Amino acid sequence: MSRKEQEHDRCIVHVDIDAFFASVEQALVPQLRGRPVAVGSGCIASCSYEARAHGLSAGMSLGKARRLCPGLVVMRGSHGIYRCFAARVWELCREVAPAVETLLDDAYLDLSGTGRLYGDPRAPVGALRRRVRAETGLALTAGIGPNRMIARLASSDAKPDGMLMVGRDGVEGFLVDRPVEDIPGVGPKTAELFRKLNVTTVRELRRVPRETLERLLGKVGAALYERAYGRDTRVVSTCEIPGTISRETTFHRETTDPVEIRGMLYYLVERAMKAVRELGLVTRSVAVKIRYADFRGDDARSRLAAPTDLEGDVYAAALELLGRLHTRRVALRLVGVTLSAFRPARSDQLGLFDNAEDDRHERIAAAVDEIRSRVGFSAITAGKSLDLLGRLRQDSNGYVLRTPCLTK
Amino acid sequence: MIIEDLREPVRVRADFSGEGVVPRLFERRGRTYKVDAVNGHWIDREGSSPVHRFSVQAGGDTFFLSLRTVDMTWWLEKVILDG
Repeated sequence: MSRKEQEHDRCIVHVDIDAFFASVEQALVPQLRGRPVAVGSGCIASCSYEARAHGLSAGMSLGKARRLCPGLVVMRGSHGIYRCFAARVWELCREVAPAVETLLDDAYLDLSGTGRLYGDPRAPVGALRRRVRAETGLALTAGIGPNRMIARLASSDAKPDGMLMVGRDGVEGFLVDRPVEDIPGVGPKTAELFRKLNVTTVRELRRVPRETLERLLGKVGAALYERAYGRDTRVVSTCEIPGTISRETTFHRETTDPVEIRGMLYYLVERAMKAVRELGLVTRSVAVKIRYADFRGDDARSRLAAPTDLEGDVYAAALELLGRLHTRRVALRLVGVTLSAFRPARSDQLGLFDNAEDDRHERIAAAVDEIRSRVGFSAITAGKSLDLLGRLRQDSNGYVLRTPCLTK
Repeated sequence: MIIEDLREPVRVRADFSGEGVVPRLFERRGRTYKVDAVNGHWIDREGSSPVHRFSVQAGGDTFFLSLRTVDMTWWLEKVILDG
């Protein structure tokens, strides 16, 4: 099959679990059905559509949410339950599609080349949605399109609990009058730049020459030019090498206590590095993000001397970044760690100065991971996160954080 | 609505058929509760052996039960009272 034919045969589905955490709570607790529900502690991690009707949204402080919606029911949330539900939904998706890329509460399914098996893709996707509903009680919204971008936009239009297919012939009409912010890669800063250029819709973006976009935005500009015409060649990747792995949380109480802040930073690094090792990767880049009590924030990134899958090196770099960032004498509300620049651990080049100490740390990390995977994360509390004992409640999955954390 | 975290052992009568397990009755503090509906069932594979977890409806309240396959013991994890 030629490349053009392959391109013509592409069929990508974007599925999204509607109001994921809140929907799980409503499925498991019938008393919550039909009521405005928010999941979170301090701020909203997820809220039901009944809550959204009152203007509530993720990230909003619970104080403000309660003022807007006095009948709001707030659930603390459970990362362990959400993880199990997500795993089951993605399992069902894998029974339908040859390639599935899972994210937090959404996934891309590649149905390219299944035309002879399924015919109209709406049939298997509709059956998948019914099965997910029957087995988990969750609503799955689906968008079907010739590429990731169109599928993603279609699912966003189909929400809640809907399905929308945009065929190759329908892309033009579907895309041209949309706001430019709908194009993946156009964030707040780029949108602001476009506004200054009087570019607010995709149609207007098409009038900007490719060379101009490239000069303004580099490679991203070239990609945006293509996407403005509905072209998106990003593949659905089943290979679990994520762009980033992040762990962040708000503190139960805003804090200036360096012991608590460092303890939380270590714990977040530990959680992120466990995910890195589970994927068989090493990381080369670490970023730290903080937000002060007055909601001002900052972040910084640093490149590690060598790729690693051990907490020690990453924590040292993260601590240095934290010291650079936390300069104001104001309590912290949030801290977060983001790892990136991954590559498979096996392909890691042998160092000239590898030593027995590194081997020992690797063996310890492997043993700790093994115990935690058998008994639960809380089976071993290590390093600076010991300082959180007595300050935070623990369950078998680790410390109970204020914001349930299910980032990938 | 009152939420109580309990984590206490509990006697459960359940149907085992094929690959599935469905709790039917359970006893708590000398009282027998009939399961009116299973709101949800999920399998937690985090530990060494899977744990079957259930949200069930009994007498207007919601109970979270778990079956630990390592020793086949039932636990009442949480109750949500409709108050």
